[in-house]
Amino acid sequence: MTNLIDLDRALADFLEDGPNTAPEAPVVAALAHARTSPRRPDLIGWLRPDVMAPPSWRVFGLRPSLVLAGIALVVASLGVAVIGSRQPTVVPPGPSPTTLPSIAPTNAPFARQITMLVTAGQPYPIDVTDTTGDLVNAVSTQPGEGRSVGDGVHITSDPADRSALIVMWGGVPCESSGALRVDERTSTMTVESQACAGDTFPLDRIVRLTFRSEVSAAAWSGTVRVVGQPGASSPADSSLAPDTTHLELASTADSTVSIDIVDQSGHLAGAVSGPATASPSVEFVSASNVDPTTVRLVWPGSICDTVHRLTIAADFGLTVDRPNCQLGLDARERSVILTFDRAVDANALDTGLFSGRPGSGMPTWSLTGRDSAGGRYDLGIDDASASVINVAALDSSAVAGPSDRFRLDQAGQAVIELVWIGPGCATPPRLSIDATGSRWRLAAGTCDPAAPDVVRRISLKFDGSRSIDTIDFQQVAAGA
Amino acid sequence: MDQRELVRRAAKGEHEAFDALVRLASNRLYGIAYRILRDQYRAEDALQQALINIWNELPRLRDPDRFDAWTYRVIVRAATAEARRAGATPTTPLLPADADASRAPDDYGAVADRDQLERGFSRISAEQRAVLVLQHYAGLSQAEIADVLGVPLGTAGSRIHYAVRALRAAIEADARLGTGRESMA
Repeated sequence: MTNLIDLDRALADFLEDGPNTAPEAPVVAALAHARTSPRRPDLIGWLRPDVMAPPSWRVFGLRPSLVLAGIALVVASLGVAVIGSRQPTVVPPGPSPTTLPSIAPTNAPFARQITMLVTAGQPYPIDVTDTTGDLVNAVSTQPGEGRSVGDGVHITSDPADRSALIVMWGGVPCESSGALRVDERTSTMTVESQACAGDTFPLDRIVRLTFRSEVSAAAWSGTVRVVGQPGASSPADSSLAPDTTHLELASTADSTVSIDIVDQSGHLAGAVSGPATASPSVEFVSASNVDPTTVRLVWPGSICDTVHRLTIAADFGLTVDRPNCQLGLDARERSVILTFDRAVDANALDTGLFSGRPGSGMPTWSLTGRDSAGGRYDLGIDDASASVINVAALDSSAVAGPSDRFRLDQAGQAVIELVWIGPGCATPPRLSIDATGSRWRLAAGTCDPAAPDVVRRISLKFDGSRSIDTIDFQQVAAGA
Repeated sequence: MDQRELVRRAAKGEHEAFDALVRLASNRLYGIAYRILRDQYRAEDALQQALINIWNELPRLRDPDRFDAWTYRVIVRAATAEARRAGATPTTPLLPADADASRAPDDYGAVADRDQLERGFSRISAEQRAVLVLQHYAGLSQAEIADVLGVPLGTAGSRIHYAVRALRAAIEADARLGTGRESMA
């Protein structure tokens, strides 16, 4: 064997050997994590540099944090020097600080216009008001890029101040004004977001509210109202309430595929399904003009994608939401033809396709299976714990029905099987898992009372160990 | 759809775009991780962690054109962190005590067969393995390695230089101990 070889070449040859294809498991696990774990809001994201900031950003080779610390030290030193150099000041007799009149809390309602900081578009004014005067301050915080909360208003406690709440919602870059109404009597907040024409991709809006006394985020809820037509200055217009249309989509399988179309533009004149195609021609959601007023929206999916929601934004931006479904199933192309009462340039539309997006109004997961009688069923799963990383419908034909109408089996450290007896009706049951992951509620769905009971069996895989002993499971009536 | 658009969409939270990016990058990243760690399971763990980090941090990547370089950085960090977590990586000092500082790496000529390389490679630190993998496997230039590691160009050069020396020293030590299958020239 030759052992006198060039080290560089030998090293290159040596490193050439080895796998060049990634195993599926870590990839699937990471994708599942991404789908089930929304990015956390980064309240100080604006302080963080670009992840690829060049070394030149450093000053004299020092890390930015060290430079800032150094500057702070210098400033502090100068302050001490200046203060120390002053002659002692003779303080005239007067009331001690404790007897100074404090700033008396006024009970006048809070009303202030603040500047909303944004990552795209222009900062804009927002009117913040309350009802009782318990609100004492409101400031906008610079958000990070992208959107980290779902629809609606996300309210959390400020870990550094028990009397403060962090309020987040989604806005769009074209907004130029808005309002935040705080009602302490009902513990509700209403964000009035101005409808506008332009880029509609949602971005975070963050406001920190400080109250006179301790507040609990859990007691608060909030809603977003889109008000005004683009360019209009009038506030809420009830005629702009989103209009929802339910549409059955053509399908190549025996499944029913549907889409709810929420029109916030007020210009949708009609919608029909496009043809069903087994081989997707697109990788992503794609919009194209059939004619000046008609847009064909196409997106890739799987046979397991059976329910969708399409939101048409005020500027005609098109967002498709759907639940996650079991990975690796047959590909399908879905399409819908939208007709508007005015010309719409499909090439200028912002489009998006999301699976299992929290707050989208869709179940986090959906699956389709066969019950013990061979009948098809669809199951929606709402996983508020964001810990489910995959679901599967299992063979139910040879499974003994559980004596208590349901049974949880530990199929692995992170895998739980659920077997239940329920009416063999077509209306999909819904499984809800609370934020702690320990409280499961299965709503059977409405059904023909004469329909015979069937057995169904599914498995859920979690992102970590999960014991059936920690789960409080209940079957509840539909809609409970 | 080009990668730049995929990065832009994934940064905004579009899962399908992220899926496509992962499919494009995962083989490349796994190859890097495996060669740094020399262990299939640790490489899988590093890849999974790197992909999760990429998802979480993607909004902070200002320039989508730098996605590839950034993902190299992420996988190198994940792999070296995995190596530290495993805690079983024998390391050689950055500058071997017995290294002749007057000799440039090229002067070492040549030396090892595959088994010696395997053993020598396993004896140097994960950070040193990383720069060698970036240079000899990923085919990155010194400037690109500096960009990936987030260090000045000269520092990248030093790291490559010392990594080669460390590998050479490890191979020579292996030969002196008689563990090599054939004697070194």
